[in-house]
Amino acid sequence: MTVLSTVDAGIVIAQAWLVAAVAAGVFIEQQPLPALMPLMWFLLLVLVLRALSGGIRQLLAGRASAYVRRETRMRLLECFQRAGPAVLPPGGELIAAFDEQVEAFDAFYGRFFPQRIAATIVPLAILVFAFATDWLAGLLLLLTAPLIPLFMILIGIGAEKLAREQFRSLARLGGWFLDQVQGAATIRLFRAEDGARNQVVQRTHALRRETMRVLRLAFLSSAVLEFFSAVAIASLAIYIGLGLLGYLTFGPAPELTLQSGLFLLLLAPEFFQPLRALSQGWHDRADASAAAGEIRELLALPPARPRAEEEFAPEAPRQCKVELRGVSFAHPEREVLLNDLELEIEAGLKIVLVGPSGSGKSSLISLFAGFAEPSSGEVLLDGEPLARFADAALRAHVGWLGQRPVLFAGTIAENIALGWDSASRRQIERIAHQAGVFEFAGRLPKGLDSPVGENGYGLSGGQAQRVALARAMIRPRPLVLLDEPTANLDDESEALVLQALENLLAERSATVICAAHRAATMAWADRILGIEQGRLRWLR
Amino acid sequence: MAALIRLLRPGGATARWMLISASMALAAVLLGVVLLAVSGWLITASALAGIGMLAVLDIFAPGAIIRAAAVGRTVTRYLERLLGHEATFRQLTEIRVRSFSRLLTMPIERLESLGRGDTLTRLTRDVDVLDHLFPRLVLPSVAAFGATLLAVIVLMALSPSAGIGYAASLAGGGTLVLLAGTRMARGPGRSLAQATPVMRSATAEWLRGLAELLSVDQAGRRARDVIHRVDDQIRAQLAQRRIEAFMQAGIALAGYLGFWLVLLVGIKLYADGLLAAPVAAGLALASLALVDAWVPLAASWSFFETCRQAAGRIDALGGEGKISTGTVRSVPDFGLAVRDLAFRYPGAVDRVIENVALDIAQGEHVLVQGASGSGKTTLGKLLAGILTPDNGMISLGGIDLQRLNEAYLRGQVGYLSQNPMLFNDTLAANLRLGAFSATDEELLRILDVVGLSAFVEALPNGLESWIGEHGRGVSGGEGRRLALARLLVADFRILILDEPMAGVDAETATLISTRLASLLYGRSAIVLSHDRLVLPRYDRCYRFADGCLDPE
Repeated sequence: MTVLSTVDAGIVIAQAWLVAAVAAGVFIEQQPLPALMPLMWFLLLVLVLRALSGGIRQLLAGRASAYVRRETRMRLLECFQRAGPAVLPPGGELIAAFDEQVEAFDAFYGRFFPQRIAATIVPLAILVFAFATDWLAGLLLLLTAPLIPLFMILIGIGAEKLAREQFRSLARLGGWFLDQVQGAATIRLFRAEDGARNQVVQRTHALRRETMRVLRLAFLSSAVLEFFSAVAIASLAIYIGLGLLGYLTFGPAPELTLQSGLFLLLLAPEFFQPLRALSQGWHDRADASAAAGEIRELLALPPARPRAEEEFAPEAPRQCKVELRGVSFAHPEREVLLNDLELEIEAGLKIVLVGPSGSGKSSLISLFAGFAEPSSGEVLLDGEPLARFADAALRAHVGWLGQRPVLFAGTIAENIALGWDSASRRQIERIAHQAGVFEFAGRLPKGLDSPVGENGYGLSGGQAQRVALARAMIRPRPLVLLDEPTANLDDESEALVLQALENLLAERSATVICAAHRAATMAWADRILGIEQGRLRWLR
Repeated sequence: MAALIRLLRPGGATARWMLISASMALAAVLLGVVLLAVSGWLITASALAGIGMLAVLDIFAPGAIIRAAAVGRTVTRYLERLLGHEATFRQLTEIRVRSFSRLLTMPIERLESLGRGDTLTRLTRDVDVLDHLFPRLVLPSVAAFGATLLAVIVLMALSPSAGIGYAASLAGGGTLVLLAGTRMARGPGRSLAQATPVMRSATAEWLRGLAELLSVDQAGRRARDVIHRVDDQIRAQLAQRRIEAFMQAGIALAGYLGFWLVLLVGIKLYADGLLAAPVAAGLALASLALVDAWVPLAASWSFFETCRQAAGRIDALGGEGKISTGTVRSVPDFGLAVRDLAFRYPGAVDRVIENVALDIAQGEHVLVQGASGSGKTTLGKLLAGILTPDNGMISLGGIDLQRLNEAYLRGQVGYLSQNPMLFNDTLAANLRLGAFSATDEELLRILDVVGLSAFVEALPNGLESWIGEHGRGVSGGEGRRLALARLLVADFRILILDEPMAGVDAETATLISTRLASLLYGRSAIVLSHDRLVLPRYDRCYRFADGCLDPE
């Protein structure tokens, strides 16, 4: 970009010089046109180069911006994945960061950044040539643009304030309008359409009056820049004119010729052009820096498993022993939820974990699943600290099922196998039978190959949960965690899911920990573990 | 394009502001051209006079023009920006009202489902995009084209061949490049419009399923799929960028070529003794100054496709789905009758409602009890006329709901949903939604019935306090009761209340339901709930299970 801007500066200066040389050749030296044609052809070449360099700059800036945005998005995904589901803020916020806020970088890297480089290099180069030609003219440019950095700050303060005001008031209106739009159903329910429409008119008019008052002043700052550039060109023209006429006898003025005079005049608008472009693009910078702040915050999210070791990957057994050693846990900036817990679950035991809502059942399951780390103490799998396990090894040890099943766009069979490419059709069908998936999939025209998720068949909560159950159970895992699998279901669906669970567990030797609000329905449970006020107690 | 015109067609006052700001923009460009042209004229003339090739020169008139042009350009540019913003703001109001009106013609059920997704957020983003069309595209284009037209006329007067050459290269070539670029941008614009929501929903799916994906060790692999969607988006953006670069280079080339031609013709005319040297120099500089007005048009016109897509989306939104076209505006009485009712959601496996029959006479209070997830909500929406039955009929006073005028039906039947929406506005404005003329006393009386007297008293400005995002936050239970109060303030003949007491503690719920009786007197009420505490005195009670309704 810097190279390109330097080339640009060269082209601009060459163009001004050539035009001035042609004019001097014709008007002063009275050369015939054919004698000047070489210069004219050369001028044409320079002009073509100038047009092309503008296009190339666009292309390069676009690529740079695309690269930055792709990298940022990749880093965001990596960071979300490392932080894990237990820590992440709500999805809407994350998607806004991933989409809109990263997109705000485009205006910065794709437009503002190249403008800023051009605004530094081009005026500086022009200034050097102006001084070399006529130091008084150079001084004039320098004085009307009192040191470029100072000028930039001036633009920055004015334009930034302007952009902020405009941005804030428009954002307020945008938020209010979004609220109305999202409440459109409610407005219709109350037959309040006319009132709501009037409100839109009144609000935007009120905002217009208020904002225009601010803008009247704010636009003055850009008018100052405009004024300086116009006055500089005007006084330069008059100075050169007077100098050429011989009215000025001081300094370098008597040495001015048509060529040097025109050269200087042509450079003057080029001197201010990049600065003006920069001031108009300033709000891009403000948007991008606001977005960058929020993205930086997300990238700073701590990883859920900071102590995992890449090479620690023990073979997964058929069942494993689970222990808690002095485990405490608290959500960030909240009271301690689990306090100094000790627990030992023998390999192969099937446990139901019960407790009132908010007692920490889900947090405990998250600790076993490695979605979160204890604030102190250790979780052990077969005597090895869970924190050490490499990610893939941990996943090979622990299966998990949550409260709200998520089905991905694809067929039911794909959702069950979910990335386990070597799962055979027979395995999928068998598990689908056991999990009661066939009970409803059989009624769909394509059975297990019917599409679900977005643009697919809508499954009820209970149906989706049975698919998720099949997904969690098709992979043999020595420890299976179930986080209140029926919490969001009606009685009938709950019964079906529990039936499916019982079928599946009957022939599994894995260790099972199932959080539940009612233990009574879990006939398969070997033991029942109670949790209340951060303490564990065996109930049976 | 038609959609764009429909949404952006300026009203009288807006059009006037647009015209004034556009003429200011034109004046600013012209004054810039004059400034440079007269400066060139002055320098050339002075140089010739200085070496005696030109007789006496009056330097004061051109000097005054130069100074006036310099000041004038500053003033007109300031006015252009200021008045341009005034025009933009006025148009912004019009765009919002128009797109909002379109939205309000859609069925309630469709609006609710849109509200849960991204569509409405995207609508407001699209509206924001359209706000920029006038200042970013129209204003600079008018200025550039207008100034070029004037330049061509001046050139024509001096030398027809120079005029034609200039018109062909800058106006012709530049316009051609702009039109071709805009046309070429359609493909990438369409791909981008598809790629962005796909990327968003892929990200949303990945985030929603992150725990699941982590548990089967697929998060990284699926993240790569998301990045592929990002790449699709970036590919479309880069294609757009290439077109913009082509446009920028093309326009600049056309402009510089025009300048070069004017310079060449000027020299030739001077050599033939047809044009004075200072005029030839002035013309060349004028044509060079015009290029600066043209180059930014590349960015402006690449923006056009984005606007077109946005307008198309807003336009399409109003088009999908339709409100019932019934015309009947009166009913003999307000008795509800339901016969052979059945309903299945589109794409669902099972019917939610199998076979329901029900009669509710005017003024009767009925409780429908059913477990959560049993389909009560669907039944309520059918009764309120928000959903249309697949089979069977619901009638009000013997007239099928389908035959009733939609606005009339909405005026008679009030519906409290399970997730009522409150606006980020004052408490009073929220409560008056269905009754603009309700007095403060009425509002306070009804707030007392729903047990929110203490809530209002605790607010800093009473009824005029803001609630929601910018004001006092409202808990789930409070929100539900405010929504109930809002419904009671309006004068509905029939009320359908879906779990009105969810999130309200049992004691308060009992208190409210006893006080409610007096307000419900004379109105029909159907309360859908999982327990019977809600309505202590009812005329009849039904149990809803497996899609069927049984009396108890």
